[in-house]
Amino acid sequence: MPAVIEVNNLSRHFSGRSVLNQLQATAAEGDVIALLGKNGAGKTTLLETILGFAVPQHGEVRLFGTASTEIGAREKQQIGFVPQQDELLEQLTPYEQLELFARFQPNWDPKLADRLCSSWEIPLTTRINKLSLGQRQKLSIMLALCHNPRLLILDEPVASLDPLARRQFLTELVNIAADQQTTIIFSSHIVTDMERVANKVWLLKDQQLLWQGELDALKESVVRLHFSSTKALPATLLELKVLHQQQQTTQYTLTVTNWQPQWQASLEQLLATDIRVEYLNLEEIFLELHR
Amino acid sequence: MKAWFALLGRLLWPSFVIKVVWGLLLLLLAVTLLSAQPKTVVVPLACLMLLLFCIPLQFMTLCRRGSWRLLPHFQRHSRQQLLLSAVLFGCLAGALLWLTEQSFILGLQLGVLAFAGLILPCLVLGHLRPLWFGSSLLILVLAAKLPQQLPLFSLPLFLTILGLVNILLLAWFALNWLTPDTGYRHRSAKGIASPWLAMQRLTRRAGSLSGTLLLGQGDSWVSRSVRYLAYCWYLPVIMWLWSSLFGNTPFTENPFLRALYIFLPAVFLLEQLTLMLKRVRRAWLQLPLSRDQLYPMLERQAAQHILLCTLIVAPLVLLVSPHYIAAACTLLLWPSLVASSVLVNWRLIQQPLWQSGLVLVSLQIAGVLLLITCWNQPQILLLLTAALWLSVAILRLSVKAQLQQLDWGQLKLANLQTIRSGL
Repeated sequence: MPAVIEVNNLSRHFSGRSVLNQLQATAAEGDVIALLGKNGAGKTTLLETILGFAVPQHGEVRLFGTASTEIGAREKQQIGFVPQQDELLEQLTPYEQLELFARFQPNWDPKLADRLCSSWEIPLTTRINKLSLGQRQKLSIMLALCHNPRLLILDEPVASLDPLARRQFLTELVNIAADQQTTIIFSSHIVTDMERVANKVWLLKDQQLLWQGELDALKESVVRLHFSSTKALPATLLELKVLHQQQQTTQYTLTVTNWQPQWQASLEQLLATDIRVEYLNLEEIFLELHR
Repeated sequence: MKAWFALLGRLLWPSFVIKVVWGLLLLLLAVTLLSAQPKTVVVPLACLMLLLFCIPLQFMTLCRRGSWRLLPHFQRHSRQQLLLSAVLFGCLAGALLWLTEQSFILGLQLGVLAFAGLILPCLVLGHLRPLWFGSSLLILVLAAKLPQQLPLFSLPLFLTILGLVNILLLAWFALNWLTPDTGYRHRSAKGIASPWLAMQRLTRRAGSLSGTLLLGQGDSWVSRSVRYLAYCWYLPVIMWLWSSLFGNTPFTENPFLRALYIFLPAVFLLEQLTLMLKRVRRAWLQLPLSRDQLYPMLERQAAQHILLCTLIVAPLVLLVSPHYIAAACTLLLWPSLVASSVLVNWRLIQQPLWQSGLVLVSLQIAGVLLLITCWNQPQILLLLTAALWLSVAILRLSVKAQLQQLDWGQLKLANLQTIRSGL
């Protein structure tokens, strides 16, 4: 079975400025991918290129085995997308918009739609242009979810949601990923939310994917080492890459990547001291990698 | 204060070209004031007024999308600045009238009325209909020679009435500008049955999901026909009623009005078809076709719209034309002008609104002038039709190639990003 998404040597640039450079990535069925990156790192550009909104300058993206620039009705029916800024029909009511989608989407799940409408308290009879940002976002998410897509792409889906709605949305996302083996990619700046549901991470930095793999592997790879030593540190510490070093008298705190638990003993021997390893959460890792 | 001035900059000179235009007009203003013929200052003054009149329309996108909620202070600052613009526009209008030896106060009041009655409602409501309807009303008033009846009123009384109307309009704007209504409003059963909502339901009837997303409203044949009937006939019907009720000259007599009846629907249609391309991003995942098949589909859609609208406008053309030959030539010219304008606008889709707007306005003015001057010269109309179809043939190749590479994401974000960057 082909990967749901294959990104091969993808490059995008705007007015001579490179945004994505030679990106390689894949996503398989059931992957829930957290797309991380600073503002302007190219997250939206990557997501839009995956969906075929734009033609890459170099390389290609394949969706369900078809080039993203050539996807047709068959592939599009399997995609759900929540854009950063919703694209709802302003003059309709949520009821009318949902009815419109239900009429023309062959895989529309009316039970799911009803359930989400009631649990998310969507005001069905108020015109969409009168809804708050949060309500509009909920409606956008519903439109992307209710036709049971195989690929769900969410660009900042929770930015305008209150904590309760965010929690409900994340629960829904976890259920969908578990029940239907849907591939989900979502970008957000609320990293704690992503950590709760994602099993993989794509981390965009300097136009490249700095990390592309399991979330757990990332959390095991980037750690903080605490130890005390009176001697100066050697120039290289095994194969570790030091991201950040902090020293207070004899107390050292090093943030490193490429950490492997079996190296602890060797490192303790090398430095002639006990080392305490602190595992970081995703937000701390993101911050350390962007120092 | 920094944010206030940043926003003012975005409001008054949203791009480098507009900055240059401002500079040139102010320079021209100074030169004409210092020249031996100071009355020529009327020309740059009128251009400045036109510029100030059109620029605020860029805020419509922001208002429609609700993205202003993300910008702190935007609501308050923009409200103040738009109100100031109304007063500034009034002052320019006053100066214009004063230079032509009329009352400054009258000009001020009329200028504020024009700005507050035509531009501000567009911004509050998020669409151009108030501008179209307001312009029609203005034409109606001018055609009925109402201003000549002004001496019947005393000037102070007239100015007082105008002042009150202006205050009401500005207050309405101040109270309604970007005020989110987040309350739950349940429509009553009686409300649903009202004729207005029944009409809305008719115009929202969807023929397909992708078509509705592209049009932004119902795409069924019934919906389209109802809309085009309204676009084509509302002005002639109003004028017919006016002339019937007040016994003025027949509503088909005035050549300018005749041309306007025919070209106003073209403006509506052009706006709709231009927006259709901008909405491709929204409809992209619902369009059952690939990028290669996109242009033929859009072209087919546009052709259907133009054909339907031509059929609806045809009886009107026959009604107002002096003879059948002129009517036949006009009916050939009409779709060619719309088709070529649509393709020009599609070609300029990535350009700022004012550029495509300028092309649109120029084409329409040219069309109206042409119909006024060449109404009885079918050869010229036919030649022009042929030239326009030729331009359509050339333009479609260029647009087709452009759409193959167009980045729909960039197309959508352009306005918002430029606005954000200054805040």
